[in-house]
Amino acid sequence: MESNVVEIKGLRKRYKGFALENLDLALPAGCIMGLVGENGAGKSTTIRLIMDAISRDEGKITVLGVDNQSPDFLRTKEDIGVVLDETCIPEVITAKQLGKIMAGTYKNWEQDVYDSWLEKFRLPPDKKFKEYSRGMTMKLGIAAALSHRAKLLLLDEATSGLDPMVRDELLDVFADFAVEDGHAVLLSSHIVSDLEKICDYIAFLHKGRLVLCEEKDALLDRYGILKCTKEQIKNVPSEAVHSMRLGPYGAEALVERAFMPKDLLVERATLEDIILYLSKEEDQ
Amino acid sequence: MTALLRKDLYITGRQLRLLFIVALGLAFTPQFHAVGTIYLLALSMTLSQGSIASDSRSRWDQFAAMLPIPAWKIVLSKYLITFLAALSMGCVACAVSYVQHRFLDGSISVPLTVALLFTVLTLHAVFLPIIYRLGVEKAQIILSSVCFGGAALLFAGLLMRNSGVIRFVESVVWLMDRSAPVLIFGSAVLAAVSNVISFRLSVQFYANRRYGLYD
Repeated sequence: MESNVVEIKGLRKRYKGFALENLDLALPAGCIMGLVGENGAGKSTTIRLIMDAISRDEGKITVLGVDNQSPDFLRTKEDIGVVLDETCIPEVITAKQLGKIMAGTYKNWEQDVYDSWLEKFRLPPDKKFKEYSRGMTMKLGIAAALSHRAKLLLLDEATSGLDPMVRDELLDVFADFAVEDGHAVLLSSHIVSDLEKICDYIAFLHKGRLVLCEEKDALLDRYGILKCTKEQIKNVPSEAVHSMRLGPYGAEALVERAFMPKDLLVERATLEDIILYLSKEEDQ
Repeated sequence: MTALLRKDLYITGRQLRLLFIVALGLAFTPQFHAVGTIYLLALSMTLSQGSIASDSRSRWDQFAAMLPIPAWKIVLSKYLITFLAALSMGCVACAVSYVQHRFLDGSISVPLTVALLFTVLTLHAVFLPIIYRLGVEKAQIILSSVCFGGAALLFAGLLMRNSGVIRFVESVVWLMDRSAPVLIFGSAVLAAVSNVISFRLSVQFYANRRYGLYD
């Protein structure tokens, strides 16, 4: 039976001007889940709440089978690799020094694995962190997260601000990680194309609310893009249409294939199409 | 714990070396014997404050919240690094005081230096919870205002020769030199008690701040 690496039930966190509302989420073992949403949707807050780094108002979170507010969670953190949107390493520290700090922090730290990641990512070990580019800082964070036999990777915007080549390289690394037995990855990003490439599940957060959490392939099968005339769209059942754009030459809509008449051609929707149309529908 | 101490040394090591050379230079400059010795002792206090400021600037605390390190260990590392620095700076300051007193007609004796070291540790115990409660920026504004205010008052008192400040300072130094064991014991007890209370408060404030309860 497939077990869940992360389980979130009824999670609420309120700030002034923002609230994460009633979040339910489950990340099965062996999967990569993409947490997608606009800036300020609550992605980083969710990751911090999973690590119990900030207080919550309501709800329950279990990570690798342990309640994240129990004393045992400190030990569970040994099995979680985290990369934040900013790497949060003091600027005078070098990659070599970071290795020594992490060796004293994680019981399962593997120095040879860390060294091999530094080599693979072409990171100079004696260069200070402040002299690193954005891509290099993210790679350093990822190298550290992958060097203590983690079972779960939590990546907060780990690919944003990077060029496509580096992003592609890192996505391969995450995909390879998830293949191993019992591993899972939760990757937050607003670059939907990255998530479409590697994710098994997509969780879409919009203004602090979870709009959907589904298997990516099921999502892509369920929705499609209908391009037709304004007259034709009037005949489409209302339950099929999620959101539409009317232009001078016709209409374009995100539709659910299951409710569509057979005579209308529905094109394949990309994940980006689905997210954009659904967020428009939510706003309406 | 060694990992955290190591990190703090990486961050503050260079700055500390530079300040140490300046303080040592001052201690052997005739007009600044006393200032140099006190500065040497105060350096140990700047170590933890510099490290906390750096953690806040680089957002290390947010990252540390993700690591398998309890909050109390992070706070304890700041106290330990200060004690280690105070111990080494105290040894240097005592040696400097001895040389000053023996050969250069210095004004601070070795027992007074030891008592001053414990006073510095007591001040450290007062400052650290304030930093953890208010955050580095606010706390530094308040603490530097208090320090500058105190120094300005003392300076103004020294300028007004008839105000009795000079006589007061001289009599305090005279008294300290003559009741060294009591002075050292008293300041050591004060430093120990204040640091125990301070540590408990700092852990609570640090954990609350990191958990977002002061936002």
